[in-house]
Amino acid sequence: MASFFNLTLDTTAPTGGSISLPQRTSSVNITATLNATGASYMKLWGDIAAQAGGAAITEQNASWVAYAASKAIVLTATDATKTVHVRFKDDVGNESAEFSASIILDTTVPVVTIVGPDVAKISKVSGFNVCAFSFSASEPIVEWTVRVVPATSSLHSAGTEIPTTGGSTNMHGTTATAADAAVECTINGADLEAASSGDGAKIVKVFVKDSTGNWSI
Amino acid sequence: MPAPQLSFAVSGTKISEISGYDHIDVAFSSDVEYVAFECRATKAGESYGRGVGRLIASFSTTPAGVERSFEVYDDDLVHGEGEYRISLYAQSADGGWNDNHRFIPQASTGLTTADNKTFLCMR
Repeated sequence: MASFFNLTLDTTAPTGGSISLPQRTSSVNITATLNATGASYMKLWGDIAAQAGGAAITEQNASWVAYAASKAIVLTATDATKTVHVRFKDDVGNESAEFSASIILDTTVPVVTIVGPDVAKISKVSGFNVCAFSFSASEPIVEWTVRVVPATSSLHSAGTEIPTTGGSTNMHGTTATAADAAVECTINGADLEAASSGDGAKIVKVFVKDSTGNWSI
Repeated sequence: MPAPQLSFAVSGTKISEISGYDHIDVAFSSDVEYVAFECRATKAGESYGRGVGRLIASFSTTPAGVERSFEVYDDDLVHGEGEYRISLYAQSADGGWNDNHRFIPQASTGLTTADNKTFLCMR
């Protein structure tokens, strides 16, 4: 009886390779989305590190790992535009061309500067029920919130945003605003009480968010 | 003497032109002594048989049970990408080859004579 086996010659590299990254990130930990038809392995390098704070990985010292449609990667630390490269390989060593994508790493939180308020004490009595102040941010912002918070160290998710039902203005906004541009605000006594009932000193804090999603602290 | 029955093992089923992936290893032995052996590559779906296709390896007289080995390289697969049939042919001392498969219907183990004895069909 004849003996035989089948053997396949495959000289075609993986096709349709791609890598995509989010446009911006405030964290060095991101996920890359990858695609290549016929790939068994992939190798990533560029502005990425083996661990947070680690040195950038070059193509020469990058390792082949099993192909996956998504891959958690760690960007190198410094804020900048980061580029990640990838190459794919099939199970018999055929390597694809190189593909790359870029992402902006922005871990810098915006800093808020407040001018005012014009009065330090208000009531709900007309003529004494409004305080005015303005704020600006150290970089362009896309959102802000004015809140009564429990401590000066509170973060943007703490406390209660001051409502505008009583006539307060600009307690929240999603208007893109340039760096150092002043945003005029007023707080009405009734709204302040709604956000934090009872007489006494209130801690009012302005938080702003940049386009990467970093909130001021 | 019956036609040689070959036992073989291969290190893979797929190769490329890339160093390290450009060949497989084949090891085989026969249950009886053979006086000639040849391995040939033909493209899947195309005509095959002794003397047909690319000769990959050949051996002369070898005792039963003795293992021989050779490699199949990408350079042996000369008809482009795709699947190849790698055929192993061995000839016993009485001249019988092991490639009588083409004359045995599928799903049968052999042909029989009128008195129900199996016989070797040679071309």
